[in-house]
Amino acid sequence: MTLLNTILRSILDLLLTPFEGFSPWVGLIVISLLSAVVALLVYKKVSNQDAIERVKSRMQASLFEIRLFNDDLRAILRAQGAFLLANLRYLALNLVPLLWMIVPFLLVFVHLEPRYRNQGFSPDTAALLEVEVAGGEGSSTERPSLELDLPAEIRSDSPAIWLAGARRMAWRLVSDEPAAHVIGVRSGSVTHPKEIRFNDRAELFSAERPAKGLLGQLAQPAEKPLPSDSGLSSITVNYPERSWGTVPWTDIPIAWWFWWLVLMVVFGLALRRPMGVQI
Amino acid sequence: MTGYSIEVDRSVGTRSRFAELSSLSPHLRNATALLLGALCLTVLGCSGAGGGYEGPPVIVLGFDGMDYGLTQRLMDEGRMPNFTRLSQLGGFGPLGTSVPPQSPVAWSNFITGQDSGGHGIFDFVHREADTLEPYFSTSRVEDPKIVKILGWEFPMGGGGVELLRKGQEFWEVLEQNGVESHIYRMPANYPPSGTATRELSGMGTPDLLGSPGTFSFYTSDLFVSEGAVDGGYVYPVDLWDDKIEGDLYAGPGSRAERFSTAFSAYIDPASEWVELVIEENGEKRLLKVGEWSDWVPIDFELSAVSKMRGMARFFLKSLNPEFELYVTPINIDPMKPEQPISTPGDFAAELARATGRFYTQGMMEDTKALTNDVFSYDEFLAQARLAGEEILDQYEHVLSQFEADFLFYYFGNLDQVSHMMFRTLDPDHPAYDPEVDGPHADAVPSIYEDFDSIVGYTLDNMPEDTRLIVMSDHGFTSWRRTFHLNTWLTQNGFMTLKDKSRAKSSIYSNVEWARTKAYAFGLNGLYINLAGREGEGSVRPEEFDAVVADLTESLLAVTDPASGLPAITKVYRADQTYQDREYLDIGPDLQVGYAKGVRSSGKSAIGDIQTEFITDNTEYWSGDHCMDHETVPGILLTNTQLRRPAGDLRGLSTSVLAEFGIDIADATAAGAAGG
Repeated sequence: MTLLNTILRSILDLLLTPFEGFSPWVGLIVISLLSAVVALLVYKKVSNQDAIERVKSRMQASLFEIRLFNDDLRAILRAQGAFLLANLRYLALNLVPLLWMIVPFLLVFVHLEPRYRNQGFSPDTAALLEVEVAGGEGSSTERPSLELDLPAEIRSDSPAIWLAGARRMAWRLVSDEPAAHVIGVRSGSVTHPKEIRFNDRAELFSAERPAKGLLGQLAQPAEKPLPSDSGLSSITVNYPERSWGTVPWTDIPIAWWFWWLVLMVVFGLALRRPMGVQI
Repeated sequence: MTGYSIEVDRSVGTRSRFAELSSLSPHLRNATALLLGALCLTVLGCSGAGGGYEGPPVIVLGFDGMDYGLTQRLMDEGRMPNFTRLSQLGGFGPLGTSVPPQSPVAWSNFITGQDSGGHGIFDFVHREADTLEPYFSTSRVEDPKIVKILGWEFPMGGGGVELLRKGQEFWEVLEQNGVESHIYRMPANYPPSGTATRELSGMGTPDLLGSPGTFSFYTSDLFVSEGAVDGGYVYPVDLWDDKIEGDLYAGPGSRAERFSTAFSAYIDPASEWVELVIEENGEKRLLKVGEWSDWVPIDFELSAVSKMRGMARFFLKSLNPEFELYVTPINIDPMKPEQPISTPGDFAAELARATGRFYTQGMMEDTKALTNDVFSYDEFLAQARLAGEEILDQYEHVLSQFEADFLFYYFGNLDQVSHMMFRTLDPDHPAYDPEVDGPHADAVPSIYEDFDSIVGYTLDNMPEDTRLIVMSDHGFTSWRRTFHLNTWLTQNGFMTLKDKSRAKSSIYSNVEWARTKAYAFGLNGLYINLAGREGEGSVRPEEFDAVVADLTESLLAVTDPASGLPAITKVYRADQTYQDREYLDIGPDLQVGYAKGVRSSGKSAIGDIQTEFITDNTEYWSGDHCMDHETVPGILLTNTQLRRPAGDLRGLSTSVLAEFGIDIADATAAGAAGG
C-alpha cells in the first residue's frame, strides 16, 4: 500500500506541480481533463464498443417506433418493453468498464483529496500540531516524552501541551514566511517527519500522518504511515478547508470532488467523438 | 422631506475637465465635446447624476467622544504634535453637538444635515407610545426566515433588518454628483444605507443574539449561579477529568429558543494551557492563561440544510483556583455575514480577506464585562486595545488602497474607554480610588495620543492635496452625580405611584397613569402623558402647554443638595428646539439638559424609581456626555480653511458637500458658521 501511495503521489506531483502557482481551479480543470481522457481510453479498451453501439441503436429504434406508431397501443407497449430491455443491457455493458475504473479512480480521489479539500496556513495564522498517543481507554495518561525538531523558519509559540483526557499532545506553530517544511516529532531516539505548509498555493496539504494499517493509509495516503512501534496513532495538522461554494439557497458546502465529477463528465462528452469512443 | 436641495458649483471638480477641453484643436475639441456630450446624456439619462468628480479628495476621521477641552489641554502640553501641526495648517475649534448629545443622535445630525425632527433619532432607545415597550432607535431586526413544510418549521437563516433613521445621507448627495464615497463604520447606519460606493456598518450593528453585545462567561466557581447579567450571561461549568464542556448561543429570543453549538476545553494543568474545540465545525485553538484567541468561526446548525455562521474571540482568564473563560459576543462573521453589514454585500468579506476577521458588532469595547467584574481594568483595557488595533490595521489598509473621492473612517475606542476610565482623570469623582484609579490616570490621554498618531499617519500617507477633516460627535466630562428623573417626578407631583409604601419599583410597574402628568424615558427624554397619544394618557391636549411650562420651571429650579448648584441648566422643548419637524411625534416632548457632571441614571431611563432623586455615581461608568449639549462640544480640526465653515454637526455635513462644490440652498445649512 505504501509503495502504491508513493507511486501515485509521484505521478500526481509530476502532473500538477506546474499548476501549483495558479488558482486551484486550474489544477482541478487539468486533472479533470486528464481523468476524462483516461476514463475514455479505459472505457474504449475494456468495453464492448460494438455491443454498446448496437444497444444504443436499439434504444433509438424503440423511440422512433413509439413516435411512428403512436396510435397503436400494442406497438407502443412493445417498443417501451424493448427500450427497457435495451436500457438494462446498456447498463450491463457499462458495468465492465465501471468495475475496471472504480478502484483506480477511488485511489486517485483519495490522493486528490488533500490537494483540493485543504488549504495552507497564511503566515499570520497559527497552525495546530497534534500528536495522538497510542493506547485505548484505561491506558496510562502519563505525559509522554515527545519533542519537536523545527526548521529555522517555524517556531512553536506554546510549550508541549498534554491533553490527558484526549491522549493528545499539542503545539501551536507559527511561521513568518510562506514556506513548505518538514518538521520532526521526536520520540526517544526516533524522529518522525511531518509535512507542514504555510502558504496558499494549490499544493498537497496532507493533514494527517496515520498509523500503519490499510484503512489509515487509504484515508491518508499522502505521507508514509508511522512505524508500528512508534507508540503514536497519528500526527495531525489542522489545515483549514478550501471553499468551493455552496449549494444554491442553502449553506451546504459543495465539495471539490463534485466539480471534479462534473468537469469529467463535461470533458468526457466533449471528447468522446474526437477519440472515437462509443459511450 | 429630504435634507438637501442642492446646487452644484461647477467651478470645482468639473472645471479641470473643461480646462483640458479648451486646450485641444478645434476639430478634436468638437469631436471630444460630442463624445463627452453623448456620454453625459447617457449617464444623466440613466441615473440623473453628474459626471465624475476630479478635484482633490476629502478624508473625514470621526473620533467618537473626543473632548474639545481635553484635546486643547493635551495639545498645550505638547502631547498631540500632529494635532498642533494640523491646526496650524487649517484650524482647530469646538464643534457643536446635538440635542441631546448622544452618539446616535449626533451622528445622525452629521449624516443627514438635519436634527432629530428630521432624521427621527432622539435617543439610543425609543418607546412604543401605547405600551412603553422600548426598542433600539436606529434599527429593527425582523424574525428569522422560517419555511414551513407539512407542519415542520425549517429556519433558513437570519431575518431582515430595517434602518429606522430617516433623511438623506450626505454621501448620497455626493454620489449623485459623481463623488465616489467610502464610508467606514458610520454610527446609526446599520444596516448600511446602500447609497455609498462602499460602506461598512458600525455602531448599531448587533451581535448574533440581536443585542448590542452579550458576552458569555464560563466559570467553575461553585458560588456563581447561572443567569443573565447586564450585557452578558454567566454559565457555571463542571471541571471533570481536566475537561469542561459548554454551549455557545446565537439567535434572538429566550435561551431555550436560541441555537446552540457545543464546545470543549481540554486542560493541561501542568502548563496552564487549554485546547478549545468547537464541536460543530471542528475549529481548535490553544490558549494560555491571560491570552486572547484570534477570531474563531463558529457554526450553529439551524436545520439539516442550513447553518448560521458567527465568530468569537476567547479569553482564558484563569485556570486556578477556578476555570474562567470569557467569550466575546458572537459577532457576525464578515466572511459570511448573516445580516447585511456592507455595501456592496460582499465588501465585508473582501475586507476580511485583506486584513483578517474583525469586530463587526457596533460597540466593540466590552464595558459590560468590566461593570460586571468579569474584567479587571487591565483586562478591559487589553480588550479595548485589541479592538482598537483591528480598526487601526484596517484603516492603514484602507488608506493605502484609497483612490476614491471621499473617505469617512470612524474610531470608537476613545468613547468607550472614556466612559469607563474617566474617573481616573478626576480625583474629585465620588468613586475615585487612588490605589485603583491612580495608576491608570494616563489611560484616556494615551488614546488621545494614539489618535494624534493616526492623524500623523494620515498626513504622511494620504494622497496629495487631500483635504483632511478630523471631527468628533461630542465631548466628554466626568459623571459625578446621578439624577433619577422619574423619582424626581414622583416627589414633585408629576408622577403618582399606585403603592406609595413601595420605595422602589422598576419599568413603571408602580405608576398610576391616570394621575401622572409626565414620565422620563431615555437618557434625556421627558414625555408628557398626553391623552390620545400615550396608552393611558391623562393630560388633555389643551393642558399640554401649561404642564410643559410648569415642568420646565420646576426642573430649572432643581439644585443638587450636595453642592447647592443647579442640577439642570436647560430644558429643551422639542417643538421649539428642532428646526426639522417631520418626525417630532417619535421623540420626547422635552429634552433635559443636565448640568456638567450630572447625568440621568440608566435605570431611570427605562422607568425605575428610587428613594432619592440625586445620588453619587459610584459605577465604573464614570465619564459621560448626555448632559446639556452646550457643555460637551466635540472638536473640528482641518488641514485647510473650509469653504463653508461649520459650527455644529449639521453644518459640518454641508461643509463636506461644499468641499466638493455642492452648495446647500435650503435652510438645512442653519448649523453652518456657528449656527
